Amino acid sequence: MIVVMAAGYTANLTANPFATITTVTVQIVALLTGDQDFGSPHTLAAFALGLALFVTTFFLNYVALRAVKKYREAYE
Amino acid sequence: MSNAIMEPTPTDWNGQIMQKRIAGRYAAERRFKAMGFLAVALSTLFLAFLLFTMMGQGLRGFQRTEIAVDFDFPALTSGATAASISGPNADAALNSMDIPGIVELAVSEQYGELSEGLLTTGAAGNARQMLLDNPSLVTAKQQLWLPVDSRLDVAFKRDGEPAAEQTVAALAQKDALRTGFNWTFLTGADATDPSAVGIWAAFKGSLMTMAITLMLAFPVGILAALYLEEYAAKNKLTDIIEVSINNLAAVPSIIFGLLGLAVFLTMFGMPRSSALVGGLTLALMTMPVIVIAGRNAVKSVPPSIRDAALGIGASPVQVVFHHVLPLALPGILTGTIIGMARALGETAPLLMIGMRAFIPAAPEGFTEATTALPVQIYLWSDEVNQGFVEKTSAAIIVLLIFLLGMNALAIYLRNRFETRW
Repeated sequence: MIVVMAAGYTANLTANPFATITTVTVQIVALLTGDQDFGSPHTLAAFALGLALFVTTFFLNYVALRAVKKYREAYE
Repeated sequence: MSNAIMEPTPTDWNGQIMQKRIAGRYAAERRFKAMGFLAVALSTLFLAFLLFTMMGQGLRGFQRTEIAVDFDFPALTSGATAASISGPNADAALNSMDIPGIVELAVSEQYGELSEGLLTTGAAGNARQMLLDNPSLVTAKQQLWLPVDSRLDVAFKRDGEPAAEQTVAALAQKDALRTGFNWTFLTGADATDPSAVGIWAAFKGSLMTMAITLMLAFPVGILAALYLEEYAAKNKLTDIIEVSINNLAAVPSIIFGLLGLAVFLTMFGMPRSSALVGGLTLALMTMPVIVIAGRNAVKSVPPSIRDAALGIGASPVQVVFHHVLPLALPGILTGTIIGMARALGETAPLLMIGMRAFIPAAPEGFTEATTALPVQIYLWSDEVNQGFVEKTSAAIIVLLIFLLGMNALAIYLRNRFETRW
């Protein structure tokens, strides 16, 4: 969330860490803080971005949990 | 049997090779220590820098610039008496007096061409409050100190626009300006003029949101933790539940905002930007944190205590509520407070459910449109007006003090009630 205050709004695919970039969270905030209908493409796009974010974290968590389980068993 | 194996030559600790190795080991130890110290020093430095900037900017936000205005009350109010503006009818009497008009008249008489945009929008309200607090003011000529407009406020405290600087210089020559404590900041609500804004509405909104969150997340979290640790069978299903809870605790908070928007606002049609919806959304976010902390606390209660209680004839429910829960409670409380502190500082989910509206009054009920402290800070940080910079920092100081209090409470509870085995 903190990046909403710091990151920009322009999508920019670059590897340069000094270039202006945007993040998924920023885009969701930007898409959803207007006055649209719930069914509008903007809202649906925000939900799709949210789903992408959720799937990514779920995958990372799954990997983390597997790693924890694997190495914890080695000591017991 | 060879002699070399039976009688190894003793290590020559004073020899050059060994001395070098020992020196190398000590050096490695020192390097590691220095690196650790450097890491701590660096983080302390960042923290000090943050606090220093906040304090430097924010303390000015608690101050306001006031200007002396002479009121010839007997002439301006056409004969109001102390008795007529006190007692139960005081409000109505003051309303009929047209105080904004009186203030405007007094200012333009005294300051002439400088009076344009001299006072902040809330100044008439301040004057009204002064009369309400002390009705006898109205019987004579009085000098009241009223807050000035934010352009002049900025110019008086530091560098402002050239035009405002000129006005301030002219006023300062007349000795008409002073710096006072900004009570409005602690008691007021959001406003368009930075010198009339206050934090109370956002603070109250945060408290109400937190109340809903705590009422929902705490009991559900504890019961879920107890069930998972004490009753649930260890099988595929509980594994899936465990992964899900860990995942929920780590999901970016904005996802919960989307959930709140889709479920609470659109499906259930709950009132937008209300403390109720904010609290429900944050409760969803805090619950997994409480469950994880609760499970760890319940897990750390030694099995011998359960066995002993069962051995002298306690039922499983009695074991849980008489022994396990009281012993696990300090850990659960610590986890809860830390989860609540995280929820208190959360902006993203609240933005999603519409808590970014301009709310110029403190909320009266849980279903009314509300704003919260971090959202207020976010909104003020986006403002163009220079006067909002110090208000943003001042609001951050209020939030930090609030968080510090909560964390101190968590540490106190842990030290006070923690039992070690």
